[in-house]
Amino acid sequence: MSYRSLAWLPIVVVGAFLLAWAVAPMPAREPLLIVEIEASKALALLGCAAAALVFEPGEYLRRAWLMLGACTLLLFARDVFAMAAHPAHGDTVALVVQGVFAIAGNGCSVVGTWMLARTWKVSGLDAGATPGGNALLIGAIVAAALVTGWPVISDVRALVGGDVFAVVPLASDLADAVVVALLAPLARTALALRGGVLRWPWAFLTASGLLWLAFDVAYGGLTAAHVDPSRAHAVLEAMRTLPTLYAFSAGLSQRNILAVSVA
Amino acid sequence: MACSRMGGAETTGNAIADRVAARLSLYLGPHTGRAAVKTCARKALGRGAETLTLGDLPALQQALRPMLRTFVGRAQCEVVLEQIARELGL
Repeated sequence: MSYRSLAWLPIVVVGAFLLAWAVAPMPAREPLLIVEIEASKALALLGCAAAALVFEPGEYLRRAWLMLGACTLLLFARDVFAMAAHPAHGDTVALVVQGVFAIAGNGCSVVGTWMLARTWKVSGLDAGATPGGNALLIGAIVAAALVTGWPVISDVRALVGGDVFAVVPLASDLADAVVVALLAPLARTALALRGGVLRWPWAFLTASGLLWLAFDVAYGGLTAAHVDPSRAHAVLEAMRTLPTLYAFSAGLSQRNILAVSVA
Repeated sequence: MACSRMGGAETTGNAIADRVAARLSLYLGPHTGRAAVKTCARKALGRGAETLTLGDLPALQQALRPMLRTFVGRAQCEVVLEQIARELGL
């Protein structure tokens, strides 16, 4: 698959989903949504695995891709567990199991993104601090604080108020904050590699991060406007699917570059 | 020791350095390809890329290896370094 096809694929898939959602009869919408969500996670897992396995054991980017793959696998497992076990409302054991999957998945996401963000430095190409780079980093940290600050405060309040399960969204929101802040080094790497084939996986990873940020902004905006997010369920899930599919594109492009000699 | 990114002209003014940079640029892009050669030459040889000779190539390849291995893995790194050596008639 060409790099340009990989760039368009997430947009085409999500567009097709939204179209199918719009024309589908009511009873078919929920199953359609589940297929869209889980298929995108399966593809992201496939992409991360393909990227990881093209490196040799012990290589830095193999470990980074494996961590991203583990994140997707754990979140996928959480969904499968919820669908297969059909836990009753308020089933504490089921909530704990799903919470453990979610927290572990978010942890892997942070570690994997952190490793990817450090690749430039690990490679020995680090230029140290530059004014442009610092501005990008500060911008990303401010964006992370703006987007995830309020949800984190709400989660902490709930936790302090005795809702022990608030630790799950808290872990997710803290992971989002870190991943958004790490967008700056990812974007810098993608920009530095412009003109070379390696720009593709890094550009797709950056796009994925930016789209997660857009999702967080949209979700937070709806909550702030006191609009029930379930009213925009399909659009929000489409916004969640886009970055997941860009992770697939990133992984597959990484694999293509290493599996096929460039010239 | 790190190879720093550096700005610079379109060429280094040295045919060997330009050949190596052109090969690296397929992966890293022209800017980073040139910068990698310039700074790894300085790191490995203690002088600028514009002074590179064929005899300097093994040392330059050695300096480029950690960076290339990180981005493209051990196997592809060796393919690239082999292509560079072949293009330069070694």
